[in-house]
Amino acid sequence: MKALIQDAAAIAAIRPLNIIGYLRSHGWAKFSEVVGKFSVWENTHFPDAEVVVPLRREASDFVQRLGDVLKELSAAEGRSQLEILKDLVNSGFDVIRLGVRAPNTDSGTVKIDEGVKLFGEAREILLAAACSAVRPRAVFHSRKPQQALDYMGSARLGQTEHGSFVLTVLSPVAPQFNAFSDTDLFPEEPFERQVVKTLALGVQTTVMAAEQSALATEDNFRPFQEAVNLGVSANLCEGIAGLFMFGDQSTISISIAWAQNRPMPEGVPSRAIITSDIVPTISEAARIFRARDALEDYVITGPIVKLERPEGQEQGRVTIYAPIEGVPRKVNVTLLPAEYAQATRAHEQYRSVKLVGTIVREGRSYKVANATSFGLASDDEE
Amino acid sequence: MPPEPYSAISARQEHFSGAYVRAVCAATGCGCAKPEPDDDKIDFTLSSRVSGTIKTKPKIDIQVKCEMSGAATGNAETISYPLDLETYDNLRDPLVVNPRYLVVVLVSNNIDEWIVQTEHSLIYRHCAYWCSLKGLPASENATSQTVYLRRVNIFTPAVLRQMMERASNGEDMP
Repeated sequence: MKALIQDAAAIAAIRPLNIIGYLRSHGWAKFSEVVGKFSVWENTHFPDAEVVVPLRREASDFVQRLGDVLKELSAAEGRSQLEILKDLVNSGFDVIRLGVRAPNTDSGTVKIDEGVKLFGEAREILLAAACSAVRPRAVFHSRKPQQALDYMGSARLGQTEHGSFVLTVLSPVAPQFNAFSDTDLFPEEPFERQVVKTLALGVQTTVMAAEQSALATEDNFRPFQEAVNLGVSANLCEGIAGLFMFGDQSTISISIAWAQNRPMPEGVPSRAIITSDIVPTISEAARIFRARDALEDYVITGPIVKLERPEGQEQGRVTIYAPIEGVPRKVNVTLLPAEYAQATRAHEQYRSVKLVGTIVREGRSYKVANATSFGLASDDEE
Repeated sequence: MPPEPYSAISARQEHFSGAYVRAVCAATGCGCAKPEPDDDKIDFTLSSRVSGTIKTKPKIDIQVKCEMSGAATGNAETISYPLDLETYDNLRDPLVVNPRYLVVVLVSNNIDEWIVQTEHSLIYRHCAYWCSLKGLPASENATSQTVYLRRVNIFTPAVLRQMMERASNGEDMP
């Protein structure tokens, strides 16, 4: 049975520009237009059909005409109005479907706590992809690139779907003005599309790296290390591993339905399947990414809690108690003689110090390499 | 109280005026459908395959009213009809895609006289008139606006064909 859509609110959600994007990408061409009111579209594959796209939402027949668009497309393309409605509403979005298949989601529902976590991890995965799209890195810290944060402000959650439990993320894509233009050799892709491509590629590469690492005889972290440029990061790995909370026999699929208003990207997988057996490897990869990570040009401000100068040496080593990525940590730094003297005075006077350097992990603690600009912290920084 | 065996007068008026419009469509060769979803009070959408500069499947939206006043008589050039404001506003909207027309069917006060049937003919009484309200100014009245339909504007197959031709070129009948 092919359902007819009678719900005026559902129909009104369609945007005329999305219809035009859909028509363009499905071989329809503009036949005529009455400027400011409507345009008429035809398709040589469907000589009997004519789609009239209304332009003005304030026209009293707007919803009626959108309903006509559904009817006409449904009749021409032989698909249900429901399918076409979904395509039209989503035609301006790349749709990312994250599906969980597990024994306890078979009813198409999830437990509340698991569901909340699922949505949270989906956000982390998307944000990791957005950060990698700005600049690939092994680890993204709490200060994310502004472009990635702006992107997160524009992405949306769609309705969930059955199968067994599928959440949808809608990533808006600006339409390409000249569809199928051959003249553009290197058409610039909008950032939103780059994010979704990075996501698709990053997830698939993570799965492949996990498989390769199981087979590697030595340095089994290398497949992950080499995949950073393809969008793999500690954050992405953590997000993927975080999705697995539904027991042993669960499978997660991530698939992309590309927006209809731009050509489909080439060489990017549209579907990846993650099974629970590779999750421990992915978690471990995330841990190693973080362990090997360095925070460059990081500003460290805090009180000195330990002063240490071996007998007969000029350089001293101090421990500063400072927030690193929001968590208070003990950070070790080696200082030149003059700086060490300054540090000693600061310690006597209960003053905080400040320096800039690269923070790296050293076993269970942290140390600063290439420390510069050592000095007393001003009062308002303490 | 037992239900009335036959429908109310207003329902009969709606059916009768609808049947009049469908009869004209049938004679013209136009499609005639109830719009779905019924969102803006249009009674029928008429369609054809007249190929013009703008459309190749033009459509016309019709709002039908039925008035029990008897046939128009005398020398007056117009008949008047008090239209509720919501319908008036819908019909004067200049932004709509399909041309919109008001069709008023005048019928006898005596329902027994609505049709005349013989072996030769079925006669619908009395007459349907049409007009376009597109672009008229907003009404200053509170509940209804009287509109005037010219008596020469009888809703006939010939008129419907002209309406379709104009619609195919993106135009309305004045």
